[in-house]
Amino acid sequence: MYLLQEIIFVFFTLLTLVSAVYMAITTNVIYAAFSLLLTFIGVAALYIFASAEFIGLTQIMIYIGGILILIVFGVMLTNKVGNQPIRAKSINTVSGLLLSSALFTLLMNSIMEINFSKLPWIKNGLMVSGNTTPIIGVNLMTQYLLPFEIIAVLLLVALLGASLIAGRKDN
Amino acid sequence: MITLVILALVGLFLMIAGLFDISRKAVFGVAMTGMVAALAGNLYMWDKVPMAYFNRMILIDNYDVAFITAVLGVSMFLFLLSENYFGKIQNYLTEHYALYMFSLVGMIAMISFNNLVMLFIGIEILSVSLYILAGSEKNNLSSNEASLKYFLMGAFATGILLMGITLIYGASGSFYLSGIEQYFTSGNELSPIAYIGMFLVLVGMSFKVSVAPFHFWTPDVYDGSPTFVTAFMSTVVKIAGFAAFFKLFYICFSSVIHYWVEVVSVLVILTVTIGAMTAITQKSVKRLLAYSSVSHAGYMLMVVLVGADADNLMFYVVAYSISSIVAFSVLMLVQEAAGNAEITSFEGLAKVNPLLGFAMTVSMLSLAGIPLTAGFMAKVYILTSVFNAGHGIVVLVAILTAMVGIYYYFKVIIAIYFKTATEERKLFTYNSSSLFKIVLFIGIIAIIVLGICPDIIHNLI
Amino acid sequence: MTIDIIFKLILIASIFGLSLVTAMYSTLAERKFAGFFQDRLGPDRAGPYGLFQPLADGLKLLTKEEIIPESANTFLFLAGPSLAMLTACMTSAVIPWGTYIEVDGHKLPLQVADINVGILFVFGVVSLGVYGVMIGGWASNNKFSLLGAIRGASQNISYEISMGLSIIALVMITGSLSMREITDQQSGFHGMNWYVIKQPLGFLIFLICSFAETNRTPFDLPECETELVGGYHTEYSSMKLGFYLFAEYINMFISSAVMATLYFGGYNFPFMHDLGLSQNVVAMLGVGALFIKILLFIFFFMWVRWTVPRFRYDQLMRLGWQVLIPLAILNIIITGGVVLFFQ
Repeated sequence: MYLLQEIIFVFFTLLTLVSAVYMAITTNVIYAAFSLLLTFIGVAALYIFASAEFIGLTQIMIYIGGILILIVFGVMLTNKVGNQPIRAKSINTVSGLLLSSALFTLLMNSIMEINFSKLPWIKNGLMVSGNTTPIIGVNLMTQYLLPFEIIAVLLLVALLGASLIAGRKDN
Repeated sequence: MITLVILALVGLFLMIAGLFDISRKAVFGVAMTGMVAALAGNLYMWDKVPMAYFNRMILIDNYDVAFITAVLGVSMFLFLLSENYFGKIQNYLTEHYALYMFSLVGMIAMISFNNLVMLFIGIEILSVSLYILAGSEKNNLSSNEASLKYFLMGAFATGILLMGITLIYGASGSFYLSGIEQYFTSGNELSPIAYIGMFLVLVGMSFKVSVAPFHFWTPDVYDGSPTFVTAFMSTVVKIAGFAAFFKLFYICFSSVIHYWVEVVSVLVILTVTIGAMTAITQKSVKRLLAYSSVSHAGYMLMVVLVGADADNLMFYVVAYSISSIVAFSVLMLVQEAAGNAEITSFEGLAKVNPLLGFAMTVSMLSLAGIPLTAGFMAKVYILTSVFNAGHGIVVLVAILTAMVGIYYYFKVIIAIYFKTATEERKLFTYNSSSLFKIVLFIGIIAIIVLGICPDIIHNLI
Repeated sequence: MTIDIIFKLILIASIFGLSLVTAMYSTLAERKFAGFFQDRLGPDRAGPYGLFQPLADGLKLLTKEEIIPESANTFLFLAGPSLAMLTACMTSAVIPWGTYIEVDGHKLPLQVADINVGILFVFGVVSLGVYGVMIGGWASNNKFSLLGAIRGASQNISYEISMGLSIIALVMITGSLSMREITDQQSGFHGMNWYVIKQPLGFLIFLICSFAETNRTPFDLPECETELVGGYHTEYSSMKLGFYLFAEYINMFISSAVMATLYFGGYNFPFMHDLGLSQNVVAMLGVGALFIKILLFIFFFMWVRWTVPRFRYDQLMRLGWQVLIPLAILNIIITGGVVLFFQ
């Protein structure tokens, strides 16, 4: 059973990583969009592995079901000018590679050095088992009520902005 | 808290008001009344016991009241000088006002946060409104470019900031400022992710307040946006940004100052130098003011570097904002008349319209930091405290770049007084109402008065 | 342990088989009903009453020439119908088909996976469903296909919102996102405590949205033949076309199952606990009851298809954004008020 879990975990990790890398290096924007789909699925699966089912499925609903559809939509309508498909060229490959590998080493090193068992909140988190959805709901309505309400302003601003940008132009 | 609620409600009210046919004056009146009411609600909190709201999500003490007052006061000042901008908007006028109100909501959340979640949401509300406002001149390609560029860079910075917040949470197990402070002062060995989180937050915040080397978006965005939005971004938004920046670093990370003090001093040196050096070659006053705002961000960052003396920051942002807004409001009129923001458009302004010429001169002097202006005292306070904290090199670099700054600010003054306008320019009419003139005059007085007796604002907190 | 696993495997296989068979015979039923509504016979040549018609159709599709357009993107062209089929079949994993049966003292629930965020899973998969249409439509490199795909996608996102909002009202009553728990809550009052009684408006919105999500008439604009030839599957032939057509019927089956589970008591049937039958019999009768409900819904889908004309595109969007979403929000407010009142 443990082995099976391990295999599934590795599968989804590889899915996430490979599709993310492919998204970064491919020059075809449509392929990039669809490999982003795989990345999101992989990440959602990893969330579920971290026993955050709610977050995992919300990830699928919001990122794959909403945001990515809009991205694919935009790409489909614009990926050809005339009959010429748009290619996204990679520029600054060397400096980008240097920067990202530096960041990678930094994060990798620190992750290796973390003593996870010393972090008290991880232990607290492990004590909460089973269905986390009600806990999230209760917390959003009690402790995090203000951020929850203020996000409404953020969403309103986004909505307003979208209609402002898409609306009539001045003459 | 009441301030935040009032502003959000005014924003909503304005949006609904947009359904009906109401006059421009009424909309302006509603927005101003809302801001005055918010300001009153805010000032009521002055010198009370610090109040916490909603499970200590926000906590309001004198520091927050002072900075919220600065944000609201400066934006009211800007709004009063803005008839030109709002007069030209044809469609969706109320929506524009609503966006400004919501961005103020974001700023207030950012200033009075006591939990990193609030900080993050506040920054997001502010940024999203600004992305839209930057692109609100839809027929203007450079405005579109500004919006897109700002959005891309801003989204990237948000990602970095969020990653930093997450890592800090990962180390300390708390989003509350007090919890994070406790973690850093506990004396236990700190987890490596705490440091990385701290630096990512530093980078993210630096992006948002355009500190070099994360300032690359600033010139293009400030140049491309409508001038009023540029004024709003480079003054009001900077106040809120630095208020949050300082609060976060002062409360949470001051106990581990030795880890980041060198990094921040390098950032400061880079910012003041790059801001000043690139401003020299600019021919457009708008771009010049954009680079000058980068270099002023360096001074504001010095307060974070010292890690104390919030009143210096307060004085600096107010002095800088007033001077900058006066400059921008004159620029708006000149730009309207001449059709561009080049320095040559200012030639002979003193003869054609003495008030505008004088206002521009005073604000340039203040931005350059010439004695008897607010800008001078602000620089003196900050440089003294930096020197006392033992950062001699930073002070040296700052003084050198300030001298460079005098060169480019004086280019504008020389154009105003010592060049003659072309025949065509002499005929320009600079349409401005009497309200505009009065407010502009008050601005000039404020710059000089603050330069002579700075204690009106300094030492308040 | 082993018996559980074996049972699960059997369950998966039989659910899979059942969905396919139901979908297969839905195609026949659709044509028969169409005949009935239009006062003609419908297919009746293959076997008695045309019962072998689906097999004949399948055989025909399998043996047709396979054509991949030269300018199409081969990989994505193949991925489209496969994805459509895959997502259509995925939802059945979380639907509780029956209570549980007892074998050797083992309680074996008739549900593949009782996850505690079942409804979210359904939504996640439903939102994935549009990718099959989008990928296929785009990869065909045909303007009609692309238009169909875009219509499908925008229709799906528009109606997902009101669908989600209508479910929120339901969840406010149930207090749970688990499909099984929701079904069990409806077993009260002699197995007739169905949520459709408490959520009539929510059900109506959900029903309309399921029509839109499954691209059925009156919302079948993505494959509207008078405007778009065949819509997103214009360029498809042979079994790839079959997959698309089949996926539609499976989707219909699954969304009927979801509606039956959420609003019509799922496997609960009237007087289920009053008859004094053994657990296994009740469970099997429950499965039967659920299937009857599903079949009724499928009939409803077909009934609508052959009586109601198709919407115009702007009407469809207006209905989604200006009618259903406000109604769904109103429903949430009313539900919240009522829940608060009875607390």
